[in-house]
Amino acid sequence: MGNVIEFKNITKYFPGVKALDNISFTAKGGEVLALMGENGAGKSTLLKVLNGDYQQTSGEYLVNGEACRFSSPREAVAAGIGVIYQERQIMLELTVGENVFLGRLPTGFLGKIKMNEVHEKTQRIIDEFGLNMRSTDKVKDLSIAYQQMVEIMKAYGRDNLKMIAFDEPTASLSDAEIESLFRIIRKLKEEGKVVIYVSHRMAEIRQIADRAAIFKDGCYMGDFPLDEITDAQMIQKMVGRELGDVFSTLDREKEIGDVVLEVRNAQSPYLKDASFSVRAGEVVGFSGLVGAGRTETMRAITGADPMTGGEVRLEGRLLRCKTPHDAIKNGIVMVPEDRKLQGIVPRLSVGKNISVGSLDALAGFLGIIDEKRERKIAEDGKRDFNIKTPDLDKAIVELSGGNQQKAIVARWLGTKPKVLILDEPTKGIDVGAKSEFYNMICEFAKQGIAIILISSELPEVIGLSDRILVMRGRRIVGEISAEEATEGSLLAMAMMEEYGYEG
Amino acid sequence: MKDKKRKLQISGNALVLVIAIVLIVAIFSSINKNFFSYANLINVLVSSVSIGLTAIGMTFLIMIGGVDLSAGAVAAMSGVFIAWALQATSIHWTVLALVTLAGAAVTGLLNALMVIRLRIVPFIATLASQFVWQGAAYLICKGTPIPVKDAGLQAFAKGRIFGNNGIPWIVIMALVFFLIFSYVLTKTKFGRSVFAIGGNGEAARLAGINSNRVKVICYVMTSAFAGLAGIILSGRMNAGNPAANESLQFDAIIAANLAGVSMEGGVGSIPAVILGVCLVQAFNSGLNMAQISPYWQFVARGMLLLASLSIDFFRQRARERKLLADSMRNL
Repeated sequence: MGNVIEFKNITKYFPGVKALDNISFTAKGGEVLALMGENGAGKSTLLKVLNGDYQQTSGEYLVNGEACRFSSPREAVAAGIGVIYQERQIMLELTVGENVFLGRLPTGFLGKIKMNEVHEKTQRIIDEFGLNMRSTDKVKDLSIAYQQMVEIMKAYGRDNLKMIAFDEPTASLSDAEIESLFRIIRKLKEEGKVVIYVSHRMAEIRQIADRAAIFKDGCYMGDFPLDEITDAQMIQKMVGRELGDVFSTLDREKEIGDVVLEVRNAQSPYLKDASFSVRAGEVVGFSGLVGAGRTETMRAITGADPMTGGEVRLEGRLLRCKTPHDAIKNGIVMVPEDRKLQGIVPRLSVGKNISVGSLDALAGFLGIIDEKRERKIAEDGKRDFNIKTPDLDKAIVELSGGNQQKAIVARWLGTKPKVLILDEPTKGIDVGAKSEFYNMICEFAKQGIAIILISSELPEVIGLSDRILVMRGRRIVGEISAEEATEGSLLAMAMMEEYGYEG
Repeated sequence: MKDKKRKLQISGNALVLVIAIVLIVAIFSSINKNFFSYANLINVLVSSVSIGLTAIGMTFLIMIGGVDLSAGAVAAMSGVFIAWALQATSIHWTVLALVTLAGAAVTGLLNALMVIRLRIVPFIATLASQFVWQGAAYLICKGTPIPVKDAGLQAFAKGRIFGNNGIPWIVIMALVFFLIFSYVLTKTKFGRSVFAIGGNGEAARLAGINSNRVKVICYVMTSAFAGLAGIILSGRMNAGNPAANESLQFDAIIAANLAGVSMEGGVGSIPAVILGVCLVQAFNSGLNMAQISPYWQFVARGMLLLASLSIDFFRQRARERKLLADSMRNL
């Protein structure tokens, strides 16, 4: 069976970011190809290009030799491309059968749905998969794992299914459920479908995949049969970066002072347990995979999410932030991870994006803004952070990602914070701007600001932090000093439940 | 250099509006000679006051991603209420006007509550209140317009500066409001918060802006302005008419939208809205004077709204394309 998908020079730009850089490779039917790479390496973007969510800027992909360009997921599905996302995309109120045939329900006279046919055909697939459910069950009554199965059946139910991709499918499954998922995946593979499997879990990939395609920073690093490559070699390829010099030249002389922020057993609907403290002038790194709870920890502390348990002390004083405004007032500021969704106000000027964090301080009688001081904050920000913009009145969205990020950092430094939280501060910005950021972070620490650095770029966490906390499954699972930490040891702690990674 | 380019862009938008106004005036003047007379142009300005006042509030509201479909009904109810109160009591008209404005403001507060607390989309929430207040307007007057005989209110609504042929006071008042709120939008913390919330609500929240308070103020403001528009119309027409102000909210939305206030939120300028208001009222008056049937007038106004929304869409798309092209060049 010869299902084949070829990617040829796929490049994808977003405003300010090059997300995929000239990706070329081939995925063949009859094998499971694992896509691997750090957070933001480009795996998910590629899947979204493949299923029509995004359109590539240049390049093409061929499905069984035929060049395809899908303008919507619907077209991709119709062409036999199925992508199963972590977030289930099924209708909870409908039955299994209705979901499986959604969008192509067989109809008869006056558009009446032939329900019997739907359930008959669906039940056949269910039996084929060997699952303990009925086509007439409502999806909302099924377990998460079975809901996922419904989604797979939805793709499988199309006679022309050529490729199926799984994006972190096991994130919310138990071991037994994972086993039955793997059984289905093997079946799909035997039927000659192209199976693409995205996961961070090393052990799982060893179990299910035949080949690993490795991504780094939007580039394709090659693919390797799994029996010819060790975990250590794979991790090396995912993280290997020529950034060593940047970190060794940083000026990290500073004095570490008293504890500024102390968090005890913080909990939120998205966070199980986090306890840690940060001292003045200290940089505490947070490492872990996407969804490990790093951002959620910070959101709970700053009042962006409701804190349901535990306590936060700022300089020994109990602090409970109901809204981010409370946190800012008290000197805890956060540069959010998603610059586009949570950081910039796109059409507002660079200057106003900087000053928006200081509005309270700038507003005088009747809320009238002191424009001179506002201008000064913006100009100081531009100078101190070397923001490259022809003028401060330019809309911020027109700047490169790195310069947008500098403006957001300038926004918060303008408020003279005690605690600075940086969530993936160098995500999607170029190498030159990155090293500027590294110098800035060291400078802030020197000024005595307590800094929390969340980063998925391992060299960054290791090179900048004094201590590193590792999160997994929405809790802090370990702490390691920067001297002892290696990229391998951090990734191993974050990825592998019982995996003893050696050097 | 960049500065120059930006200024040109802004005036480019205004220029298009001015050209459109000139075109509309020219077309309707050629159909009906009386259109381009001093008396009629003043008349257009007077009629545009209601739309203008409502459009100020609507601009703020659209900028934060909201909308108010109940403005016309609130104006109608306010006009009928003050007419009824003047007839039923002997309280001075200014006091009654203040009471009416306070009542209108409360309707805005209710809109805000529905949107913020019950999380109903603004379109539907204010549609619901539109029905309620429109019904209330008819109930207060039992379906027939109530005459307004109060000389004070009439003088307020109809008085002119520089004698009988001068500029109407209410036009000047509207301009003053435009100036004040242009200042509020560009120079105050509140105005800046409006830009931030509309531009990126989550970023604004994380930047410590109290979005809910800003939203409440925008809704209350819009309703209060609609109330003022209703009071003025009652004075001008010598009657509180429940059927007046029927499409006030739509005219205000069209005016704001034509002026470049994006329905996506986060973009807008009050001075441009003045031009938008003039354009809409010139269009409406022109249709009337050209003796086009009211049925066709509905169609024409629908087309105008559609046209302004399409322009908004194309503006948006052109901007996005330019942005992507820039990143591809720079990376």
